[in-house]
Formats: sequence, structure tokens, C-alpha cells
Amino acid sequence: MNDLTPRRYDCRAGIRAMLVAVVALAMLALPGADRLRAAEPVRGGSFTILLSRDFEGFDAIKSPSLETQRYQILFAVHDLLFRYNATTGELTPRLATSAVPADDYRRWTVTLREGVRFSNGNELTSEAYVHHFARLLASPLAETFRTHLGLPLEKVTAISKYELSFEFSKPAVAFDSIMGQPVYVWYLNEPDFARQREREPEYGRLSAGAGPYMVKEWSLGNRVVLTKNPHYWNPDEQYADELVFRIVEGDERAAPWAALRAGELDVMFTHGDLVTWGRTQTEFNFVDTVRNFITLQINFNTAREPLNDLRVRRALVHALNRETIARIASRGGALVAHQPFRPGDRWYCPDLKLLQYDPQKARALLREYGKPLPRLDILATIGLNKNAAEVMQGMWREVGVEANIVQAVNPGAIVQALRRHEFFVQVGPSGVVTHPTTFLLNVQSQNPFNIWGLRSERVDRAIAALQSARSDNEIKQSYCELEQARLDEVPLAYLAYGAVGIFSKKNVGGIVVPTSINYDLHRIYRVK
Amino acid sequence: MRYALVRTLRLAAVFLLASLTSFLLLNLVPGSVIDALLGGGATELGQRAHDELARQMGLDRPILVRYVVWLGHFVTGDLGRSLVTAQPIAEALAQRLPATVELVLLAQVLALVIAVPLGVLSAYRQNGVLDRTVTTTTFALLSLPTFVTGTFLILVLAVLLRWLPATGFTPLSESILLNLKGYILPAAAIALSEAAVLIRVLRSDLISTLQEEYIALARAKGLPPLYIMFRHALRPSCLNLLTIVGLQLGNIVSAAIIVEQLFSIPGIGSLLIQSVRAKDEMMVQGIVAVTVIFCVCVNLLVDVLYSLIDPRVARPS
Repeated sequence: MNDLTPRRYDCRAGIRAMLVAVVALAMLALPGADRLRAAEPVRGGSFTILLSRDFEGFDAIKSPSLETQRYQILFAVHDLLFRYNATTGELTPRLATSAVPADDYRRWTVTLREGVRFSNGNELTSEAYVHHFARLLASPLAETFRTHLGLPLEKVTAISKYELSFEFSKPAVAFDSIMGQPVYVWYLNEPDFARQREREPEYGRLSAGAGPYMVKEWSLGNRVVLTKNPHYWNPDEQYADELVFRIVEGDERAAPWAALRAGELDVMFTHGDLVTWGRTQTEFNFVDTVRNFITLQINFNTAREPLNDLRVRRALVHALNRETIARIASRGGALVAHQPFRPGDRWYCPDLKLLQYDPQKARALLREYGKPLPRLDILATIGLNKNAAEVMQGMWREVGVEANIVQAVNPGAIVQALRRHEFFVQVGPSGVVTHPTTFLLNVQSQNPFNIWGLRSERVDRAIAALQSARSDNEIKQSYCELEQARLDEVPLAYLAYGAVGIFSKKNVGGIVVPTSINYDLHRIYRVK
Repeated sequence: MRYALVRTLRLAAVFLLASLTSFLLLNLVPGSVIDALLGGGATELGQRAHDELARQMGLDRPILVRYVVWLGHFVTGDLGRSLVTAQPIAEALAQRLPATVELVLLAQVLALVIAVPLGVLSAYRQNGVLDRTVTTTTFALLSLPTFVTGTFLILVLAVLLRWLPATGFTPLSESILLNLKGYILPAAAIALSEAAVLIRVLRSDLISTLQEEYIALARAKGLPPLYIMFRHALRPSCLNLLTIVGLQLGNIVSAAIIVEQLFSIPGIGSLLIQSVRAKDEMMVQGIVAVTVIFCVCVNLLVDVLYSLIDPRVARPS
């Protein structure tokens, strides 16, 4: 008996192994088996990625445009100190290995990774950051760069060859997450390369970064071709031999869509127009997410009659059906928003008392206000923002408020109107929100960036509490109090989180759900 | 000679008027390139940055002074630099212009290649099946805007059949074949409506010429009909065609701006749209100036050719 049992067991195991092998072989022969084999990325090859706006340059001073599509190229040519996951708050070392704040958070010591080289072969040391930030902070655009950081950066000095000190005029609690934000303040060239060329007008067209790719060709208005940086510190991340960023401008549903369908692109990303189509089609792989960095919001000029009356502002928000706005403004791609951080984000406040859609309440508040309302101008740019403005116009008419849409053909006109407080209501994207301590502080009464003209002691108190908070728990608690104060005082209202979708051909892998405005498209590879 | 001189002076006035109008129009649009570049910034520092950039870019001076300064530089061949990218405008135009010129020329040639044979055949077989078909088709094409024709061509020939590229541009220096392949659809989108106009004009002129006595004489001599058509009837019927070709060139350039967007061709049309959006007035002025000079020169050439074909035109009355 004892002799037979193991033999019988061996026999069964053999049969089982054979069966498994047969099933595995059969599965590999089936049509869906490609996905099993696809786990292994194939290195090499060239990929064509869409940019729906022209690339304006590498240098933040020579071409300081607000255009964000250029980040896809900048991030491939440069690299960040850290990679930041905006949803989880996770920080992954890249060009730096550690960042330690001083007790008062006015100084951060950052240690650089040793052995990193720029594409011209020179080593990355503290000197590169010192030179880069000295140039930025001495430029007429210094304040713009501080705004991009969201922090009052004073200076950057070298402690040693690989250690840097970032100094701030106020506590910079959020600096670690800001270091991981792909804003173009962080993209720097090798210092010798920079010193030799940065006074030339064409400097914006040159680059020598420490990222995985380097520029091979830049044909204006046509394409930017990147090739592998032979000195990159982490060659495992360089899958493609060549990345071609092809510029196909215009409405996403026109030329870019045609180029995708005609097989001329490997990858294309969309910010709304094609998301709904992407969810239903089966021709391409589609990564779909809703992100808070392109949230649609309305701003009220609270210094101007009748918007200086809280009842009017609340009535106008109660009259808005966000479901409809989200559906129409982004053609079905967006999600309703009441606060800047979306559900699931670590800074999302779950217990806020919201101003929900309630036309009856809106009418009652307007009756209580008692005076006739003038026609309100809604300032908007063309495209999705104008769609939202048109929907809002209809909803306000329902509660007896007439509005005109003032269409701005360029973003400069919007900025000028906000800067000079020459607006009633403006609708547009909210921009990047990374950390609670870096963006909502502008509504403070004395803040020079207070475009809303709000004067609220409650908001000011909440901001002061947020500024003195240190731990994540303290920050979240005081931030949610500020959010509630903001909701109650209504200088602005969030309407819809923007949708982001990335199309790729079926044989393209490596596309991840984006957590910031950088989509990591340079990490794509071919799958068998 | 005097005729050409008078025409040149008139056209110089047209150039001045067009460039001044575009300069003023662009400055009437609210917002400035600096606002777009700097973003927010209601602070004192933000205002200082704004003023400093305005001074650097020369935007702190009155509009007319800026125009005169621009014109002064322009006549000496200095087009300045882009306010957004700092790229020399002459260089940007040199990079973009070939794509647009090629598109315009190909569209014009294609329009003539389509129009002349069809116009001749329609007139030759007046009221026949071919004439009726061509007439109906030309009416249909005349009623279609270029972007509709272009979109239709993209959908059928690029997206569905995948015979031709939907978008993109290959420089001539890289591959002549790929370059021409990329231009077939954009050139056709412009040429189809252009050809429709030319067919109508040529057909009616030819029909009128065919009533002339010398044509009857040629027929009586027993010359072959097609020989009569091409040898004796076509040349006198081409005067109006030539005028229309010159006049339509402005339309083709306008259509090229739309078609470049539609087919993503990096020409001056797409650059113009970008520059207007960004309020890059130096770039817009450079593009408008070059476009006006191009159209003006072509019209001058047409006028001169007109006088060569029919010397009575140049003669003082």
C-alpha cells in the first residue's frame, strides 16, 4: 500500500501537469491570448504621439506660455526630483533621493541622486539647480514662477555637491508634493550649456536635460522627435528608441480624430471631447479617468453689485444643475464637482454642506434680495468653457436672471479682466491643485491675488489656521473648514471635474492612469 | 512700362492699408500677449513684471508708433521676432511658407487640370449628358464650403479606405513621393470648388467664342473640331479664366488657412491662427505682410499677362 500510493500520486500529478500544459497551449492559440503574451514589453521602435497644440519651447523664460501640452515633451527630456502621486500622496525618488524640512518648514534640504548625467554627458550636481533658480528668480517673471510653485521661494543654495537648500519666506509645508509636480519651473538644462546659450534669443529651442530622451529634431508646427538619452540614469525606463510628438491642431473631433482613425498615431490623449466616444469604441485601448487638475469653476466678482450680496451669489449657485453642466460642457466625460479635490483623493472633504441644485431656493433668495438684477456678463473662452457658460445662461434665466456671454478669443483677455477686476462672472478651468496649502489662500482678504475681491473674516481665520497647520491631519481638518467657509461665502464654485482619456493602438502598452498633468507617455512600449 | 508702374504704386497702397488694418484689428481685441504669458498677478510685483515685459517687447508705446516702427523695420527686411517664442519671424516664415506655397500652387494647378478639359468638353458637347453632369456637379461643389469637402475626403479616402494620409506633412527634402501623397487631399479640397468656378467661366466663354465667324470659317475649311477648340477657340476664351485665376488666388490662400488646420499642415495659415490666439502681433503682421505681397504680386502678374494676351488692355483709351 505504502509503495503504491506515492506512485499513484506521481501519475496523477503527471496527468495534471500534462492537462495544464495542453490547456495553456490551447489558451495561447486562442484569439484573446495576445493579452497573456503582452505582459512582456518589447523594447525599441518608434511611436507617434499626438500633441494638439504647437510646442512652444523648452525654456521657461524665453517662452513662458501657460500651454500645458508641452509638459509631455518636457517631462521626457527632463526629469523631476521626485514623482508624486496626487491621489495617494506617494512620493517616489527620481533625481533626488531625499527631502528633509527644517522645523519651521522655511528651509528644505534636498539630496540629489549621485551618478545622474545630462544628455551632454556632464554630471547633475547642486550647481545646476542653483544656477537655474538664480536665473528664474532674477527674471521679470519671478513672481509667475513662484505662483506656479504655489510657494514663496526666496533662494536656492548648494550645501555640497549633491545637497541643496531651498529657502522660503514663509513655511512651505507642501514643498515635497510640489517637487513632484511637473510644472516647468523644475525643468533645467546642464549649467555650462545654459551659461553659454541662455542669453541667445533662440535658447528656448535648445535643451540638455537629464531625462530619458533628448531632442533629435524639432520641425516647427509639425513634429518634435526625441531619441534615447545615452546617459540616462535609469535605462530600464527607456523602452522606445524614438518618440515622435506629432502636432495635429484643431478641434479634437476633426483632424486629431481623423489622424487616430487613419492609423497615423500610436497614442493620443483627450481632455473631454472624445472621452464619451472612447468609452464605447473597441478599436483602440482607452485609459479613462476624471482628474481634478482641469476642474471647471465659476468665479464671482464679489466687489461688484449685485454679486457683493451673498444671497445673490448663493442663488446663482443654487440655480445651477451641475449634472447637466458636466454632461453638456464636456459632452458626457466629466463628473460633478463641489470641491477641488475629487472623491478618492486624500484631501477630499466628505462632510461639506453643499449648495445643491434648488431653483426654488434660488428664486426665494433673489426675492429676499429684493432689487432687480442687471444683466450679468459671463466671461468665457471659446470651446468647452463657452458651452458651460451657455448652459449656465439658460439655468439662470429659469430663475429670472438674465446673462450675456462675453467670449474671449485668447486667454490673455481673461487674465487681464481678472487682474483688473473687470468682470462679473467668469467660467474656466481651475488649474492644477496639488496641495491644500498652495491654491485656496488667494481668497484671503489682503491677498494680492484675490481676484474675487472677497472680504470675509471667517475665510481669513480659516486660512490662518491652515497656514499654521503642520501634520497632514491638521492640514486636512483646517483645509476642510476653509472649504466649508468658501462654500458658504461663495466667491467661487466648482462645477465639474475634467475628463482625461488616452487612446492607444492595441499593440501599445505602458499607458497608465494619469495622476498629474504629466501622462508619462514616454514610457510606452510595443507589445507582441 | 508706365502701366506696370501705376499698378505697382496702387498695389503698394493696398499693402499699406491691409497691414495697418490688421495691426489695428489685432490691437482692438482685449488682452495682450503679456497677460497670456504671465497668467494671474494683480500684485505690484506682477504689474512690474508686466511693465518690464511690455517695455522689452516695445508694447508700452502707442499703437500707431508701433506700426510705424514695424513698417520701418519691415522695409529694411527686418521682420522682428515672435513675442511668444522669440523666434525670428523671417525664419518662421521661411520654415512655414514653402508648405503653404506648395499647397496653393498644387491646388491651383489641380483646379486648372480639372477645369480646362471639363470646360472644353462641356462647351464642345453643349447640353449633352457630359455637359449636364458637369454643370450639376459644379453647382454642387460651389455650394460646399472647403472644410466640408475636406472632411468628406478625409472620411472616405483616409479613414475608411486608408489610401491617403488624413493629416501630416513630409518635407520635400525628405521624400517627394510622401510629400505629394500628403498634399493630394488638401489640394483636392481646395481645387474642387476652385475648379467649379473655372469650369463655369470657361464653358460660357467658349460657347460664346464658338459663335464667332472665324470659327465657322475654320469649320468650313474642314479642320477637326478638337483642333479648332484648342487651337482657335481656347486662347481668346482664356482672358476671363486668367482674371478669375488671379482673383481666386486670394480665396485659395484663405481656403489654405482652413485646409492647413483641417489636414494639420504646418504652413503660415496654421501659424496665423496660433499667433492670433496668442496675440503675437509681430508674427501676425509678418504673415499678413507676406500674404498681401504674395496676392498683390500675383494680381500684378495677372494684369501684366492680361495686357500681353490682349494688348488693347494696356493701351490708353
